[in-house]
Amino acid sequence: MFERRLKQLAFLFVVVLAVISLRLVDLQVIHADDYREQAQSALLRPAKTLEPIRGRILDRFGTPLAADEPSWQISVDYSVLSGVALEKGRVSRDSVDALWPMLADFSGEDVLELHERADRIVKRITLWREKISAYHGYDITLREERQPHPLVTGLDDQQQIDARLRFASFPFVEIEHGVHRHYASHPAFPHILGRVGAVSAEHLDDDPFSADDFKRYLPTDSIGIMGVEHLAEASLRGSRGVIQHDRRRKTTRHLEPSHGQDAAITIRCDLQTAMYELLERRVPELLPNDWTGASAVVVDVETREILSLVSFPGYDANRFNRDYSALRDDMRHTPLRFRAVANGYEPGSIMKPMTCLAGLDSGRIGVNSLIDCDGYFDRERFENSFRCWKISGTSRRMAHGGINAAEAITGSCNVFMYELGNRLGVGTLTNYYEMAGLGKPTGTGLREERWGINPTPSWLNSERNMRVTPGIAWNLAIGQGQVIVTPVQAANLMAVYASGVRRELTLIAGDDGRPIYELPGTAAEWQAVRDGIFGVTNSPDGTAYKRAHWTNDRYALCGKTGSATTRPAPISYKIKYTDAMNVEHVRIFPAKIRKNAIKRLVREVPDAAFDPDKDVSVHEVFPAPTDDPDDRHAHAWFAGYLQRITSRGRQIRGETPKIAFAVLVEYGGSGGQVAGPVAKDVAKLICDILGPDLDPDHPPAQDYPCNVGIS
Amino acid sequence: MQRRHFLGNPAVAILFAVTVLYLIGLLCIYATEFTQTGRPINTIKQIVFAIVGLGVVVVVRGLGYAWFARNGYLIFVSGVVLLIPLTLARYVSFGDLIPNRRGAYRWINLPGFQLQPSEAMKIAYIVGLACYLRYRENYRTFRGLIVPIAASFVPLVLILLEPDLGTVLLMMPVLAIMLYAAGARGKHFALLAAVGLISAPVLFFQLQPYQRLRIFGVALQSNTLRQRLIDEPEKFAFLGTKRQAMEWEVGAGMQLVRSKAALGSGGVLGQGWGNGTYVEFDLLPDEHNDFIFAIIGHQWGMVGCLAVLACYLIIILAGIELAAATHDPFARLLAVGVVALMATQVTINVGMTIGLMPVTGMTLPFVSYGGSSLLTNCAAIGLLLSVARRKPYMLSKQPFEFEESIGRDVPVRPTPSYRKSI
Repeated sequence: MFERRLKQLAFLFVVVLAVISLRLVDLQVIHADDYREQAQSALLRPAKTLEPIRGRILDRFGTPLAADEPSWQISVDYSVLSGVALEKGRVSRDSVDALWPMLADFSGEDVLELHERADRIVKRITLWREKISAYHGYDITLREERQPHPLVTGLDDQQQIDARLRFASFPFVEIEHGVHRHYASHPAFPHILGRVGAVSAEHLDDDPFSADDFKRYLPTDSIGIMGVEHLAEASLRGSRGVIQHDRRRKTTRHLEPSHGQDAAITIRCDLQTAMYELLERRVPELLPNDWTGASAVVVDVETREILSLVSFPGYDANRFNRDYSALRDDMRHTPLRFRAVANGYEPGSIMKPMTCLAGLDSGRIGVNSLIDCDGYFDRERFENSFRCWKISGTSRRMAHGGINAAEAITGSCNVFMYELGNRLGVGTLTNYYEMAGLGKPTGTGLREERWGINPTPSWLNSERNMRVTPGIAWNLAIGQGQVIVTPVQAANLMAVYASGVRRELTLIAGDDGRPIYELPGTAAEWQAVRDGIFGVTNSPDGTAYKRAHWTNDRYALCGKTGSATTRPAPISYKIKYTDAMNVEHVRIFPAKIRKNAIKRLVREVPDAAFDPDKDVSVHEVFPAPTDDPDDRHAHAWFAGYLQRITSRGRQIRGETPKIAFAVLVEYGGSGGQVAGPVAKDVAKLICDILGPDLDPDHPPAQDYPCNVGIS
Repeated sequence: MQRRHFLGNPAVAILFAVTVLYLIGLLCIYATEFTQTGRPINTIKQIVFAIVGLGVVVVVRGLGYAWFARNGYLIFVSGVVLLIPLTLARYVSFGDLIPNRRGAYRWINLPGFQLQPSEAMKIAYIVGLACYLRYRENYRTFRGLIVPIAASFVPLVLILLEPDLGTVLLMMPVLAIMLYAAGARGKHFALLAAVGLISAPVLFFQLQPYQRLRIFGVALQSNTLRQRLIDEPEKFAFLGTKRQAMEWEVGAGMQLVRSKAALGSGGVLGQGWGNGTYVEFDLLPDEHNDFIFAIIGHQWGMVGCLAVLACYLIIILAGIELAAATHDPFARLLAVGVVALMATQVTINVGMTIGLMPVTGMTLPFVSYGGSSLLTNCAAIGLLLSVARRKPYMLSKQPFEFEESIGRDVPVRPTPSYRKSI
């Protein structure tokens, strides 16, 4: 019986070995090919991403204004940035606390700013992690959580060595190789070029390329966030490549990255720098105490390409990080502001030609209709409220008398315009303004651009809760009241006056598909308007004849002065608060609006207690108030174009002007006192620089080299 | 002289098979180690282990099974005592004497070598069991069976606490096979099997999640099942988490996936000695150790695998032959125990390599790298050879053979004729 049990055991073992052998047949004979394939793929090393080079930004002639450059960066381990390393005791609190002031000292940046940068990195990666974890249904640790992340970028070789020595005692700090965006240093460019920044949580959430593995944004990517960097992001960016080797060092997969394309913009860097330098020189000279800023825009009338887009003051884009807190806090000059597209002003008298065209086209007046200006509009009802500029203050001068539309433009007659506004009404007037491009984007595509305001009756109702009264139309007719334009819109308005055609502006070279809208109005009516504008600077009756009359042998400066009334605005706030120890403090924060001042306090003193209504007060306004109740402030416009003239100084009527421009000097006062002389210089500059292009026979009077480009 | 046995002399056959297995293992250890690092350190160590192992064989065989029969209980108790400090190490730190490696306390650091008490326990267990079960009243009555099972629990629980699931999985089948060979009654056996089956789920929930995952890993090999788990993680939660299914090939299933790929890609004839992806690169963890069978299959294909299995078959059959030949009940149980130890180790190790068994730390006897394992198995072989060496007592009755109906212990069969050929 038990001998049999041994035999049974032997049989059992044979059966087990037979089962194993059958499985071996299955693995090694039947599915051998599958497993050979698996063995092959087991050789593969992880694929490496090849980063594309971001495209350059070039000016009209191909001068590079922004380009990627190899550089060094100081990176800090993610675990330190997120605080995990500290929690787990992998680093000491002392060493982390010592790091921040050292970084700030090294980079010249604000400690708070560095902290915020680190917070943004952590926020971004946390969000990305949550997103991926949600997708998988379980918690994932990202590769980025084990990597260092750059806090200070753009170090050159010397700084790199210095950084290595200084940060040697921090095991979690690495000096890495990286790519740094280098910009033309001239202050004429930072606003246009904009800047790149780290991808934010919002970008990751709303990624247009999320379907493309090589293009979608990763939390460590940078993205254009301002200016042309943002505008041309899609073509500048390019897409990643990939390379994979196996363990035998054979390349198994290789896709070159497709580098970003260069973006050519329509700006002429010679004109841009010369224009900036002109404003930089003339504005502080003309307004030694009061200047805050200015902007100038030059466009090509036919193609509507923007040749120059100056916001003064500017800054050195390469020092942005370093100088950021000073730039941000300069509330008087607001150098970070892209004035040319982002600041809106009352247009003032530069709207008058459009008012006239509206009147002519709608038949409210004829080309030769006369309206009598006795200095006051409906004096019986309004006393001195609506008067002509010629009857101003204490110095009583003569009124315009009976004048037609062209003469009204030349003389900038308010009474004529009031009457016309009265006849047209708000609806019709704003209709025409809209045709001229008010209240609409000009087409630059810049995210900073504001649309201005064209106060149509429905806008007045819904946004201002106002009843539409004739008085609003009277004011609108002289470009005052609720109407707001940006300098770039003003330049486009001048191009409309010059050509009778509205077209979207462009900053990107070669963008020719933009539609052309012909404005209504007969040739005679348009001519009347242009005659009026010609007269402003070229007829002795013109309001700007004295200060802005300028011609050379071929061109005459034509244009309209304007003034945008303004009031002193707060530039800093005083906040009273008590801290955690219940000690009272008073601090002053530079800010234009109350909300921003409060935000700053909350950021810098998180545990401050204060009442936002009572404890926050305006500390300083600009311009400083004076005792004179009549002390009025105004921004000065000069907007115009260059008209071809005969050798005897007469305008060549059939020829459409080629170049239109607008200049705005903040707090430049009314009329042509400040803007006029600047406009003359601008006209000379344009002729000097663009002369050869406008007219091949015309030799440049002066050489304006453009040496701002980067290598 | 009539040659009745296909293997000739069982002792010679066993020695031959063991030598072949050891050499195959040595070639694999050398091939992977030398191509990957250029320095055959483990190969040299393994040669040294073999020399020591040979000594162990000679000593054990020289002592003879009779010595073990006399000291059986002492050996068993010593084995258990050696396990106790390992369990204590979980609560009391012994410093470097009993180090914690990958969460387990399995080794005692002694000058010159590391003692792995659970390995020594394997031999002690077999000897102890054989010592007890040689008496008839101990295996034919139910009460008699309680003792070996209760005695088994002590080392089993201690080893489970280390934890060393592999050794526990090894000892249970050895116990069952020895009981069966001793002649435990069918109904007792069925009762034990039932108790085992009932307690299995209880035991299962006592396992660590990673240990449970290893058991279900056998099922999770299936792509279809993994996909089901990914699609409906709640419904199949008992198998594992969605993450484990998604990261199967780089996580829980990595070793299995790679060992199967290594075996399968060997095909029928293999990639050749020292050739192939898994030999050249360190892709398969424990390739010289627990997963050496995959490397054999990778290099020498199915031919090599079957050759290795054939060697084990020789050891098993020769062992059973020896068990059948001896008249000493202790010697017979000892031989069956050693055979069971070999067969179970091979089944579990090869089974896990080819994906039929859960992955547990289990070496392939004589082939895998490692001193403890080699010396233990050498001791086992020494015991087997001592059984072959001792001439059977010509006058003794056939062990375990009696006529129940008569109630008297009288031989019912003539002694096997092969005795004459010795």
